[in-house]
Amino acid sequence: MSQAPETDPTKPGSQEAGEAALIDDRTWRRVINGLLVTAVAVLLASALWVSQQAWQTLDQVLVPEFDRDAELVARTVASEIERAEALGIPFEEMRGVEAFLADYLQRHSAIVYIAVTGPDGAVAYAAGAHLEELQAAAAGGALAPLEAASDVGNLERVRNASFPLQHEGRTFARLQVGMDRAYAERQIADIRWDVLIVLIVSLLITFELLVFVVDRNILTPLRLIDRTVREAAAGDWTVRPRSRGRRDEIGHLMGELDGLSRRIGQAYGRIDQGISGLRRIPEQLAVRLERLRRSVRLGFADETAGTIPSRVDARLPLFIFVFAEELSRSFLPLYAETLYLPVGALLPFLGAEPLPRDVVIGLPIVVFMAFVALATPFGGTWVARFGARRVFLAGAVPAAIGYAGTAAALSVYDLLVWRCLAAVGYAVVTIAAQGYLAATAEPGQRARAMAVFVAAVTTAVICGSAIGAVLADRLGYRATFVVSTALVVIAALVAASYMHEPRRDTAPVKARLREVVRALANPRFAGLILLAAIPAKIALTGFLFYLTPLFLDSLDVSQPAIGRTIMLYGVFMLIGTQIGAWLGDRGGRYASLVALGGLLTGIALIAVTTVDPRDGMAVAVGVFGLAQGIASAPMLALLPVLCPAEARLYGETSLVSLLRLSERVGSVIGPLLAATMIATTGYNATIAVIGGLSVVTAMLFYPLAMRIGPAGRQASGDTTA
Amino acid sequence: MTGTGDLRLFRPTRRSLLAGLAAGALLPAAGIGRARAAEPPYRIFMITWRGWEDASQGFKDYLDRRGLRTELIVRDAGTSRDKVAEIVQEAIETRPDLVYTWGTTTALTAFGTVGAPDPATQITDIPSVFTIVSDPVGSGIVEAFDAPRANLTGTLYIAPVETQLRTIHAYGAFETLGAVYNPQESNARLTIDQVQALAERDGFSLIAEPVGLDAEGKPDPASIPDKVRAVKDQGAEWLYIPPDSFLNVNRDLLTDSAAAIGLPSFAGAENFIRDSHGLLGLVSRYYNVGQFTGYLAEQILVDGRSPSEIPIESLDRFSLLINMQTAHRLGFYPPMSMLTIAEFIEA
Repeated sequence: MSQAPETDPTKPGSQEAGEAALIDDRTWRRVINGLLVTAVAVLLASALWVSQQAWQTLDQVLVPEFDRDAELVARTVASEIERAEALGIPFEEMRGVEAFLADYLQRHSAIVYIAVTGPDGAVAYAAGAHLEELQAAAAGGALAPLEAASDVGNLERVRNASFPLQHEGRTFARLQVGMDRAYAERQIADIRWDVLIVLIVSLLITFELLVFVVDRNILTPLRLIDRTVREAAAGDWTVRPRSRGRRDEIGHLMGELDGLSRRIGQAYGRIDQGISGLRRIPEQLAVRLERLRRSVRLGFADETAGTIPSRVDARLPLFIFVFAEELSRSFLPLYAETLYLPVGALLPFLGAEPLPRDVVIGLPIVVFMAFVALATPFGGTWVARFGARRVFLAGAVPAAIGYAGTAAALSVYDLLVWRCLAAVGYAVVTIAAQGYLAATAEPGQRARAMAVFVAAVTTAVICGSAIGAVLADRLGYRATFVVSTALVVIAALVAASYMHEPRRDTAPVKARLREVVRALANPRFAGLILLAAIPAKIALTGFLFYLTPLFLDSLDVSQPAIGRTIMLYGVFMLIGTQIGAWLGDRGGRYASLVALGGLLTGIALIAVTTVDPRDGMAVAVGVFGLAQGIASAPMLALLPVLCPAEARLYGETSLVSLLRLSERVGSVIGPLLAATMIATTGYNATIAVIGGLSVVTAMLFYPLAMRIGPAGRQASGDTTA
Repeated sequence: MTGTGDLRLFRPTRRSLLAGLAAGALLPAAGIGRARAAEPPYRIFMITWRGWEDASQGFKDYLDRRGLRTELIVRDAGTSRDKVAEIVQEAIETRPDLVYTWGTTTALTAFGTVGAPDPATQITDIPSVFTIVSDPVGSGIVEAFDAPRANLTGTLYIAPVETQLRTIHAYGAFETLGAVYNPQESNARLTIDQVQALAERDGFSLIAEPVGLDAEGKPDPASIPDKVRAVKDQGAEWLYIPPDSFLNVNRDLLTDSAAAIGLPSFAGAENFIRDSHGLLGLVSRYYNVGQFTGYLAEQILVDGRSPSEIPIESLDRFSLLINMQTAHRLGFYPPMSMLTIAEFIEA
């Protein structure tokens, strides 16, 4: 971190620019990037080595495990056939052998066939699939000879285990058990993926923690020293009592600075005293003393002077909090499905079911999205009134209750109540974190502060959805919600210990929502919302949040694999965002990029209905994430282009808030639309319709975009948020 | 009452009393130290038909293992109906605590048919149990399995006919079933009627041949081989042997004639397979049936239950018997699925 003070002090510019020169954002980013690279390099190297070891062990442990499975089955089957032989039943006259083998086959999914080869080596009795491979091997003499011991060998698609069948020490036939090589490989691949996911997630979490620790222990104190020195240079020699609490070098340095301040104060006091003893003050001295008196501030500083609120203080608790919510991303509809209860079972007098089952299962997502939308404006008001830290802590309360209730839910109906609470908590906490980040940002750096917010949320989305699925697979749904509850409590504890209430004077005057809503009357703004923002959210909640877990589960895809698929959305959205920002900065064709996002989404969704969804869904979700990422920054950049008057009147931030709020209509519609369609037409048709909607709206949006043409340079400033 | 704890232990297994499992392992433990020394011994009057065999032994062993002090008065009829009548008179006069009868004829002679017993010659007021009666309802001993008489209940030892037919099917499917039976035995006739009903329902044909009668009007053993050949000639794929005392006595002749002409045979009674040349049997082991009957006796004597409260039941599980010698002779081997569950009788 020695590079921090090396920042060029000769940088020209005003006082303000100079003020940020020592520990400005570039420095911060450089330190963090250096950290990231180092941490990633070291962790990746060690983790790859560990994974490599684990993978090798897998081969050594799991493959023999499959062989053992086959042997176990073989032993049971063999003993029966040997019994028949012992009873004197001639080998070629054994009856019902095929049905008997088929019965065993049915109970072991990893085994594709069980067969018996006779003394001549030919297949005498067999049940199962891929038998042609065995027959070919038997005809080609590739199998172990009659008298050989147990033997395992690979055929094309089958791993064949061969066991001698004996009576009184004489081998009279051989049992052949075929295992699906693909099955074994799938199992191993699944475990490898889990290892990889845990690796990535621990890497990201480590990074978050590193950022937090470095910022708290190095960057913030350096900033504090920087500020203190700078303020001293400007004549502020007040003593900052808070700053001496630390026991490290930085605390020591701050103590020294404080001592210096105190000594200067004492020296000044002595001068003051000495002067008061003089009868006549020389004019020249009086003028100099007066100048000194005017140029310095002495005495004691106020309470907040010894601290600098850092955005990182909000980043870690926000990360943990969002992580808690995302844990259930890949299985919430599946959990709701297990809790489903027909309304008729509760209220028999109602008669017919008011809602189809699929819709009821989608309601927890719908309710969550709706309550996030409803609570967000209140959250904003509360942050303005009570401060971000207090609102963050207050929001954690309903969230924790919500998750605990979700973990213990009795039916899908009380689950709705718990999800409401969680939604209110989520809305309030995220808005508080945003408020905190905005308030701690240096003037003109609000976009970067919002980038911190987006980064924390996206990292949490990626980690949470993947690790949540692994947790659910190993511990169960309810236990995973218990983990969420614990994480919310931890987030609140971290926030309580590290978040300082920032000075609120920096909060800009925000336009009232009631007024900003008038922007909706601008047809171009309304067009952006209706034809781009809302369809995107419909696809997000309807396709990804609701349909994907249910669909993949119906295809017998494992829970961790569902989590991985959903994680891909976050990963590719991150990549897409970079591409979108880059392309937007290059060509400024924001509207085209937004249309491209919708088009790409639609094509991915429609395409997946024509291929095997087991593999296709992952690709579709990845492309979907990429498309959404590409469109996200240009969509915000479009705002001042589409409605320059409103942007000037209310401020861009207000327009962004309005966009975020109104697109939530799509979040609520998404699961409802998908659920209703699934109930009537099935998964594939539903995916196609959501994709079609995306294509059609993008096509309608495009003429609008063409009419505007390439956006001017004026909008390129705020593309990263 | 010390018995209830033991009963709870025993109840789950009683219906599935299999081989010596319950008798050998569980029961002695339950019975240890439970000898009811203070109570006078229960006087049980046992009427057997053809001597002391497995069912009676199972009955006695059960009561002994349960620690009941009993005084057994054993009378054997020597397969004579008149002798049974004499023994019944003795029972009526001596008034034991419980009467036990073995076999259909014994039970019919001792208790008469339902609704028409004669108190002078038949037992109407002494608690009684019967066993080894193949069809107590068909033969009129009781009205229904769940409607025992006031003083009489008992156990079944024959598997339901439908189950028997399913078992035959599992060994080797058939479309035509043959049967030879004694027309003078109600057991046999009733069972053949049941098979006929199922044949109509399930769409297979039954060829039933009554054995011939001799000059005195008695069933003639010499006619058996011809009758067996007759059913085979009419296309029968299996020979079904109903519960029938006459056939039981002549079981070797019957099963041997079938095996000799390549006709596999099935019986619901043990002897035809275990001690003869029948191929396949679904049977209750007499010993187990005897134990089950002992359990009924215990409920009546110790727990004071009325026989009218104890329905007539069979054991839940039956033994699958396969005579491997006959299988070899026929070249007709059991399917793999039966190997784990069957008991094989080898030479």
